[in-house]
Amino acid sequence: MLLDLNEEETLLKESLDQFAAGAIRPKIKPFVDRHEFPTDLVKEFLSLGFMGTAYDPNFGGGGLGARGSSIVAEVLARAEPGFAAIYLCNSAPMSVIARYGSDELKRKWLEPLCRGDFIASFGVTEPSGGSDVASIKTRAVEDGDSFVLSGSKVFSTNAGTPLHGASTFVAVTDPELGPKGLSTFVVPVGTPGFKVGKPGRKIGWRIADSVELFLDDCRVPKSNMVGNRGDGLKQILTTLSLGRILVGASGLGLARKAMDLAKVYGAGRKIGGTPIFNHQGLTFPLADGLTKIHAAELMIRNAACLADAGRPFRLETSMAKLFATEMASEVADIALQVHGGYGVFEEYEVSGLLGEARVLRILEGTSEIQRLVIARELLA
Amino acid sequence: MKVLVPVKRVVDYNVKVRVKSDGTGVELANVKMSMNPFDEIAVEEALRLKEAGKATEVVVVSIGPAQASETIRTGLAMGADRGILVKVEGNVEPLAVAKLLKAIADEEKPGLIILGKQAIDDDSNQTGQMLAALLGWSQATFASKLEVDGSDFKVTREVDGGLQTIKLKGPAIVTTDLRLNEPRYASLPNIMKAKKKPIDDKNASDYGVDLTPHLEVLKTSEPPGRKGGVKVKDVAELVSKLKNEAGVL
Repeated sequence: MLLDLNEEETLLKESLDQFAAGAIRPKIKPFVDRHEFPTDLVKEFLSLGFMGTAYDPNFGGGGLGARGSSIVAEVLARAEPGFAAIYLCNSAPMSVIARYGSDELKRKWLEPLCRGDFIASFGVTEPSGGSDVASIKTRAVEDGDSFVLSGSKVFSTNAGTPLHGASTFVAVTDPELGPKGLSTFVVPVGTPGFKVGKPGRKIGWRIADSVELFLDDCRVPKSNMVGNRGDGLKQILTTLSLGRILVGASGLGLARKAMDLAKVYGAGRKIGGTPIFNHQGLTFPLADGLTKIHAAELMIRNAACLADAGRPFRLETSMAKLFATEMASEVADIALQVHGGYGVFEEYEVSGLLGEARVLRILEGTSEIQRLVIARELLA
Repeated sequence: MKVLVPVKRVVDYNVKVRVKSDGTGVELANVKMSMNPFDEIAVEEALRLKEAGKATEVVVVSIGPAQASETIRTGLAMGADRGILVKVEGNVEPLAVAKLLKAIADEEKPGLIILGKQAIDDDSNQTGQMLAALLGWSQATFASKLEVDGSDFKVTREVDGGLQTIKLKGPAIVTTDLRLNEPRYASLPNIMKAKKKPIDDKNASDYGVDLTPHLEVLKTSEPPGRKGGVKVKDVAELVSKLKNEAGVL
């Protein structure tokens, strides 16, 4: 069956479930309340090597592909959606290096990232660009055996944390070539001119910090270019598409969390002397929610299988991401409704899930972008 | 020194157990199964001994259905070196388990066997003690601390009145209590290695052990629902109720 896990996936899920129950859940609430990055908890997670789940064992990965990493994102999101954010925002730079980087680059950056020595971030979106990655303005000018980068990026998650070690940037190397003039670079933390802005307070991904990044004549060696000059756009589009599987999986985990909370709260709540779950008004929406959770799980797993098999996956990842993240918002809303008035109080975990779910419909391509991708395939 | 750790596949501790409708036992169909938590503590302790250079090999053994190999893999993913699966269908009583483990210990010749003090399914709390008797080895149950002294051991036990420290001559049997350690999470590199570690497939008949049960389960039932409490107005009424109604004084 599509959802059956193989031996390694079973062990992976088992260990992650234990980490979620034993480490994340008991400790995470104060960090969520303060919108604070849980440094020690993330360090403990990194030490277990799970950041490398998807990647080539020759470079320290687990070789479990998109199927394995979607399990990680789902389990983490079910514990705390922001924790999955830290994972999947680290996955984007890792994926681009793993897919397109030279062996030297992989040895230098992918291996320590798999090992969990530090985390990375991705600099794609620009203040004026939003979803339009082809309008990137950050420049990379060739100078001897280096490139000099200047420009700025927004919404770069993980970059402001004490565990941040490097960022991958997409910049214009050849302006005259338009969309074919973009290239990707690894910029290590500590490079002169690489500055990090202050994190803003968000309604979702509360424990993950998303910051503005500034490149002020940042010089990196030519060997820090990921793959070929001019392949930047192709690389981002594929990386984003793979990332959509993980964002979808985060939505799935979030919806399961909402369902867990609704079940526990609803089971102990009565109205007019009758348990609220004796009323179809609340149980039917939950039944619909569970059905959609199942559908999302199948779509995500299928998209991951396609990606791992090396088959075309862009359409299926867009559909899985669109469906799973819209569904997550819906189920979070139903779960809040089950809580009644208490559902809007911050001391009830369910209150925060609406904002957490909302983020997922925007990043790695908004729901509207997914519909564009899907429609293009339909009309192709 | 080789350390042998028996591990049992049980209903996961997070599962809300349901009694089968015919009362013959608890529902196991589609129920998440895991390693008995006390056995995880036993595996962890054995791994710590190995990491401290006090043990050379950690062998996990499970007696149960074919799926118990998953429980062994969990132990291997934590870091154990190899596994032995003794395939048995249906319920195996503690005495039969102890006899099988004795046969395995005779073959493997471990310097130490660490077991969970009990399994969370039937809560028998017998296997370790029976195994010690069958082997004629010294034993320390309910351990909260374990120190190795050459081939001997110093064990702190959790007893009713507090803590008791005893010295054991090796080879020995130790059963774990909750506070002995906190088991690790299996890391990705260890999960990847687990697949390549060997599991020896055996059957009970390989050891010539008779598994015929000596006990018969007559009925399994849910615990009675909790009754509401009452408020008493003073101490005198409380004492009177404890004496006359509850019969506990």
